[in-house]
Amino acid sequence: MPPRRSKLGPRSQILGGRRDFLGGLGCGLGSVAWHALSAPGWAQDRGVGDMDPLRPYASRRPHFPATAKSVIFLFMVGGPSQVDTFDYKPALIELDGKPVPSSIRQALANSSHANVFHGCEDMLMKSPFGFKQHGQSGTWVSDLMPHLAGHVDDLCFIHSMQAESNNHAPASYQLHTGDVRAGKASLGSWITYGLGSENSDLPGYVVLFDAGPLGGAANYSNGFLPPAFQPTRFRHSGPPVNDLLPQPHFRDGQRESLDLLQSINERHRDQNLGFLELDARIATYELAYRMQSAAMHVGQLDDEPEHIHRLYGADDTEPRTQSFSRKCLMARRLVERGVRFVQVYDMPDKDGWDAHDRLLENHQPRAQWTDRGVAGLIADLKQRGLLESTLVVWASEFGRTPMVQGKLGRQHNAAGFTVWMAGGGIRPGMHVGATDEIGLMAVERPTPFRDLHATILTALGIDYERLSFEISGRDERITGVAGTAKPIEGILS
Amino acid sequence: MKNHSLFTAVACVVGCLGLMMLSVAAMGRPIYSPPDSTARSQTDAAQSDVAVGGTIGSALIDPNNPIRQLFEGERLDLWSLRPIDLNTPSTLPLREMAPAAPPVESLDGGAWQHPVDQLLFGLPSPWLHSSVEPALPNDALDRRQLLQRLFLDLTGLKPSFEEVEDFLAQTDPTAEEQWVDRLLASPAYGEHWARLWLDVVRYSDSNGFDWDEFRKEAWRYRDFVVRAFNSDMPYDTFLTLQLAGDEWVEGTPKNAWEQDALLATGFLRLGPYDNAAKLFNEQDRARVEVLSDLTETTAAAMLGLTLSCCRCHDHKTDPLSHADHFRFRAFFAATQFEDAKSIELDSTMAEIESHNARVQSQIESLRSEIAKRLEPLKASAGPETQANEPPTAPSPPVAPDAQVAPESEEQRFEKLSETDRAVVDAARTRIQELQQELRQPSVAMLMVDNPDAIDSIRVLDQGDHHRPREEVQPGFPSVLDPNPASVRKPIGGKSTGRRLALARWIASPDNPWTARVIVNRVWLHLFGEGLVATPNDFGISGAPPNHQPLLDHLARTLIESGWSIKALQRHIVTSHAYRMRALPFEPVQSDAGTNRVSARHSLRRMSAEQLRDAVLQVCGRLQHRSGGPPVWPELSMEILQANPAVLDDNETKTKGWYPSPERDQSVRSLYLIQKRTLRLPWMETFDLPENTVSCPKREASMVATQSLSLWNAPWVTTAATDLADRLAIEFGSDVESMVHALFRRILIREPNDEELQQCCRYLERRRLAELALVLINTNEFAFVP
Repeated sequence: MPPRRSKLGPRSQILGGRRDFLGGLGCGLGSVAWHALSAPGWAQDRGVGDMDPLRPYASRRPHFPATAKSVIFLFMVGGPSQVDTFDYKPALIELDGKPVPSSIRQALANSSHANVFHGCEDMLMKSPFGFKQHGQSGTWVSDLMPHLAGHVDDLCFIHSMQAESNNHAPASYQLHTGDVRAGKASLGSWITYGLGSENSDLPGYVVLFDAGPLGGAANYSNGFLPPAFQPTRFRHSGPPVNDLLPQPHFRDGQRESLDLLQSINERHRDQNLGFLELDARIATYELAYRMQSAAMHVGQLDDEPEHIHRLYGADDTEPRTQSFSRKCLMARRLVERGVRFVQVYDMPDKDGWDAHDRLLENHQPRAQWTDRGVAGLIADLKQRGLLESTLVVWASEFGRTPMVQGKLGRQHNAAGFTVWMAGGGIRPGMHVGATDEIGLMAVERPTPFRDLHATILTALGIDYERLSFEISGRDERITGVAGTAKPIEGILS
Repeated sequence: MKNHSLFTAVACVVGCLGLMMLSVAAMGRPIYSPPDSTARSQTDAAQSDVAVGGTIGSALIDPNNPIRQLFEGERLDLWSLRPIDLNTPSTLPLREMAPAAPPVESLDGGAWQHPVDQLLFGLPSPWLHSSVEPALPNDALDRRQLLQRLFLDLTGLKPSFEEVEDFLAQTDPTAEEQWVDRLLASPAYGEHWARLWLDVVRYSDSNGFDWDEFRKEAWRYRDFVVRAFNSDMPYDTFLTLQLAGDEWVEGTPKNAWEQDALLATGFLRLGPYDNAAKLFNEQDRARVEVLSDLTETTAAAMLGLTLSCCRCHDHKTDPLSHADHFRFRAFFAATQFEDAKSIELDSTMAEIESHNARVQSQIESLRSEIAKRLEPLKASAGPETQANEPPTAPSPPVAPDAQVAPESEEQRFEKLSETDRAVVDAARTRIQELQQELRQPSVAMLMVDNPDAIDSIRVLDQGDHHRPREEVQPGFPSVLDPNPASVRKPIGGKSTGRRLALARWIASPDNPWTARVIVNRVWLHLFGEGLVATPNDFGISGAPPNHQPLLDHLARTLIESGWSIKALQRHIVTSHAYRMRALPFEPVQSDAGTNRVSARHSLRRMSAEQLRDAVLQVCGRLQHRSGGPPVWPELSMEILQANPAVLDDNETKTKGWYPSPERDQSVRSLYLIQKRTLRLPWMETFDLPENTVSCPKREASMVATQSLSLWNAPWVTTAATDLADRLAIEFGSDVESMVHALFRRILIREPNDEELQQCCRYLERRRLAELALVLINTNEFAFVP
């Protein structure tokens, strides 16, 4: 009696059931049978989050027309001070050395951010940096960022961000994943889960760092989303991906070895017809082969002309400037090739912008190390027409108190701080929200991270309420399950 | 007395004597009887289903149950609320079954003998609704592949070529069962199945958050889990000990079992903890997170309940109220970290104490020796006189006299003669050495109750700890039992008894979730898919069981076997269903209108652990290790910087990275360090799950970075080279033999003619190590047959 596998068998029938499975991968593959799996036009058939588990990076249709295709998220680790960069508070000059005005102190004490006062002295400290107005928008920027100051008309500032924790890791987790607890999925994972990527030869979600963010890998993790959406770390010099190239003694024979591998795999597959997992894994070896050249190519920053290196500050002799600048340049090269989400961390050492002591000595060099890279990135994206489709976000887990801590330092401040965005359909030259007169707490349009996330997703054409993933009985969203998020009003074009 | 019926028995004892004896008593283990004067135990309540004496019964029968009111009588048709169906076939052979089961045809035309097969393939099935068609049986794997599947599923490792050949040569019809028993008895079994549980309880060796401090003693819990699986600890005991094992131990543990009872409570200590919160006055948040995590993990892991969904409001779909989350949380309200708990046995402790007393007395005598040398200076005696005294003369330590000796010890030392200084130096050195010899008792990282500091547990509006509402008492999900749980403080009062009350309710044959949840996990790990596709969610928004009679049959089998996991596994793997060839995924059932039960093996890519272990194993590098502290791989600074805290090492050696010696690196993956913020890149690439929340099911992604890792990672190519070098020594220039040997080692079979020729041609230009790498990368190697 023959086995009763009646409903399964010939490959074509199975494909009939899943016509779009694995389609589109045919081009360039050595595998003969591969072409049988291709079905043209599949990509258009899939919408946000409708992921083919075997082709997780295939590009998917957004919910509505997008203004941004890619995101570059510049993460300043450790909490740069808003009152020393973009949130100009002349009142601090007068109040320098004085206690916090009682009305402001009271307002903070009555808020959920009361603990921001913990560890500070009740004494205000003026900014050690001068401020000037720049551009048509008349935006105040401190002397810390002279290069970026030249591009303020391209930026949109949100001065009233708030985090739910005043501690690095929880606040940082919240900015990345929407939750102060670890274990949730990061923005880059959500977006690549939603939309896939535009370049199948490169990973869709890339992170670039020297040292990572405080709280480590849980920040940029895929969390509960399928593991295909974990990020790939790129280097800005040398082979750009870990284990990208064969070990020396295995290098020359790589193509021959891959051909042998695929031929053994195909024989095995022919004895196990119908298992798309087998085909998918066969395909990953060809993809990996293509990724080797695609990644090496994108990593060849030296191909860029000298003026571009200069624009980003990649010619700087200070290694930390050079390192950050090269990351910014790499980010541009990645989005140019269709990579969906690039996360760049500014963390050249173990402290970042965490200036509990000596703010001046902490912030001044850090601003120098990053200013040319950030400014160069905006300028370069703009001159290539890429800024229109690339959303750039500059943010940190929180800002810093106007009160002094330690020796001329400042404490963390989750109650009110500044982030900015540029490109990707964000209206330039805008200022949204405000902190109180000393820059301590957001008083005008306080904005939680979930609204920032909602804004970013909307720019990408994603309905943030519909970008969800069911886990343990709950439709998780980066904007939270409560449904209270909304895009920041007035900044999306 | 069978173990499963213990709680029932206990209930009687409770009723008669007002005393409670726990199941361990009947297992021939030390008896410790926490007093429980309540006449009504939870078991009684669950069984009686009748509201008595002012208490309110289950919502299934009592109109006064608040859940019935809250959801207006809806949501009560949830399948998993119903008692486990006792009408499914038991493990008894078919012929002893009730005549209701008609003979059913098997593949070869005979009748299905195995209850699992009867349930799945029986036609027509007496246990399925008439609109449901039984599953279609597939043919069995060939025996070579079957043995591989058994090895990988039961031990996580591959068989050797020789083991497979032996098996194929065996004609004894019980050969397969003998192998099953042998594998279940192998120490590798516990190492593999422990991973299932460690995923579910989100095991990690570190705190998480900013500093992600290494938890030096967390591994003791991991080893407990391995021992529990290997010794086939009854599953009800396994759960009970994790929640309340400390209730069985008075003072220091008297034997290995009591030691494990303590170590089991490491479960309570596993969650992430933000150790930096206190610096920012956020201890409240950190504490609330610990408790909610413990609540949600316990409910998900042991009960398949999604209490995380009712942290902020009433559950959206299930019959669980907002208050239910906090009632459950209240069982943990008195828990405190205990990171210095000695877990030494009584006898070892006595040994340590007497050893330390010996060493201490040597130290004391050396100290007095030193003091004697230094002391006379004060009396202005000449140093030479002192030096002439026999150095070993005992002398009691002399109390320093502040008035006559303002000189510091060092000043006095400087005045000694050279000989005396040498003597004092030697004595000081020896003291330092002796201090190193002092033995510290081993400690574990656990949670204990502080009965004097019980958090008041309040319902938190929107889950926000800034917005507390009404206080609640410990209680089980109201849908089954809305009354406050009866909690009795044990004699001695070292705990509140709350966790014990919870443990008794969970580890009960009457709990509708406990047995079903674990048998589903076991099925999932053996088939690649659960009977319930959402192993952590047995609620309405989870997947319904694709074959509830089978699920209930397995649950009943587990309970009737005395909660023996090994018996359950043996039961499943000896069915035809387990032996079937894998089947491709069928997206939609093809027969229009019918509702066919699906029973299939999915084709599973090996997990990160299995894959790494297999590479090491076939290359002859896998090292045996029986537990102990985790092994830290050597990682480049570039990778370590992923969490900058690593750059900020501290004195207690908890924040840095401490690579283990090269010779220890090739152990099974179970023993590799598992930090929360710094994942091992190779393992992560192969879908190692996030370890801050319970992982119900491993994903297997197919991405190019995996191919790059298995193709290019230095440890893989080193292993391949190693193997090739050894084979080259063995076979010299005999290319065909080398190809045969490589296929046997890696793919556990001979190459066919075509492959042999192809590989020989390949080896005309390429090296044997390259061929080994190719075979390691094949699908045949990477998938469980």
